[in-house]
Amino acid sequence: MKFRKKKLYSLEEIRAMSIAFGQPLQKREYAKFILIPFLCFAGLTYLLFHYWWMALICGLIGGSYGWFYQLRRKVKNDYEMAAFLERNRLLNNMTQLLTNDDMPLIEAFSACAQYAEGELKQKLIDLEITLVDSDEKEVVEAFKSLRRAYKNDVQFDQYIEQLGIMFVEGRTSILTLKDTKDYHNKVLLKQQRFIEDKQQHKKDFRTMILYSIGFIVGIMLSFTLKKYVDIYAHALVGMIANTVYLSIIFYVYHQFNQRYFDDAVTEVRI
Amino acid sequence: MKNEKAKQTVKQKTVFSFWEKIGESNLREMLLYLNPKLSFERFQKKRFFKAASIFLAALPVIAFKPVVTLIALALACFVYHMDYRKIKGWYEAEKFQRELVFFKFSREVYIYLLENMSTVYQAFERLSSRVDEGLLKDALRKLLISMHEKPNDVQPFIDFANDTSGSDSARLFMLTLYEYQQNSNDDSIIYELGKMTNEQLFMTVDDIIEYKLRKFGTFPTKIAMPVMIVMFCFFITLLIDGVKSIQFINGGG
Repeated sequence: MKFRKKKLYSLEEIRAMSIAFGQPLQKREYAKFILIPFLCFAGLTYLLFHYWWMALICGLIGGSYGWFYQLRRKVKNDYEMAAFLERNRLLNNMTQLLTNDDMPLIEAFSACAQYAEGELKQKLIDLEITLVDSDEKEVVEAFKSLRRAYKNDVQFDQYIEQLGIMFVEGRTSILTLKDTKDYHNKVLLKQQRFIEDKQQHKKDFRTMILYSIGFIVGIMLSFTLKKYVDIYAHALVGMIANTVYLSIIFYVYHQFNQRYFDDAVTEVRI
Repeated sequence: MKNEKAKQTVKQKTVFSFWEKIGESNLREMLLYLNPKLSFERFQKKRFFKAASIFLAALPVIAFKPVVTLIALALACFVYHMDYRKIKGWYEAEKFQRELVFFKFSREVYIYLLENMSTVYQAFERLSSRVDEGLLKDALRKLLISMHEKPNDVQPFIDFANDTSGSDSARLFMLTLYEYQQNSNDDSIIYELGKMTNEQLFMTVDDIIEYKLRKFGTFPTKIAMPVMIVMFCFFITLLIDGVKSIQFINGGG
């Protein structure tokens, strides 16, 4: 049972995650995560209240929501996906090289370390150095530390465990390694499929929001905009009703984001 | 143990109480799964009186307007049904948690057996000293005690599977472990265990994905309903405005 702690990441952590595999975040990316929520929130608020200062306040709330919540979750998910892909590549390469029975283990390992990229490469090179000149105990410990680093990835953990046993006990059949690699590929596929499905839901969510806004605009215009502003939007009843509406929509939006940014397929949070 | 269970099932089948009849068919089972100590009758009574009191509270209004009876009844039924929905939601979440607990357990046992070639009992012992307090630890303690008392019995293994996950694959896994304990040092069984662990993970992964995707289904309603607030309030103000202007014309004329 794993309960993930709710945590907001600091800017340094975000930067570190985004450069761990691949390119650092561009300025444009940062802007995207502030500006789009700002505009959406401000636009909707102005439409309902017809006060520009209220639109500005809600826009700022939206912008900070995008900056403090959405951006961080997005970067973290991207990091985890990149790390997962990198591990998957390592397993596939390693198994491929080991199908050749004449290939020495250490040579296969160093070749894989060469192919790897980013954060994982550094870890593999460290491990390789330990493998070349250390006693058995240190080798076991080094493998354990690699497993600890990615202990949420079950198949990778199993694979490295088996590889570690091979290094210590000598080469055995790679049948189990092959199986574990296949399972890892399968989990990757399932996760990618899951993310695609969620994107479809995001599209649906957006269309639904647009429809409901269109509906409100339709009502507004059917009794002339002036009347809407005078007797509803700037009156007490309208203020209260609109505030309630906006807070419900914001809450639903947050709930949606919580589910949308939840990429994990091996754990449930309640 | 077996006799006790047999008695329980007989009791369930023969006695049909009022509370049993007004509850949903799988409610008792779910409550038992969530909390074996909770009394089914008490839960049903509480739930029923909650719904009934809502109806009773509406009685003064009904005296004046008999049509309200329908609304009050509908509301009472809704409240009654919501309790069931709540229990069902808990049940599903709990099921996942327990499957994950079992999955974690099976994986660790597999790695222990692979790593050290230790016996099954030793693996359990090491695991029970490491895991956090909770369902798994309690079940493991029970398993260790009954394994000590009845070394060659398969029943403790099955009980453990039922206590933790309760799924068929969990029982199969525990039976395989029992086989391994009986004819130890058979590596092919360990290989089989590793395969089972992964297959179990896949089943859980599929369930989790389905569960998480299903939760997106309610969003269209959640977005559409609040629009009604704006619409109704706007129409009411329009109506009031209309009435006011008519009065103004009448008063002026």
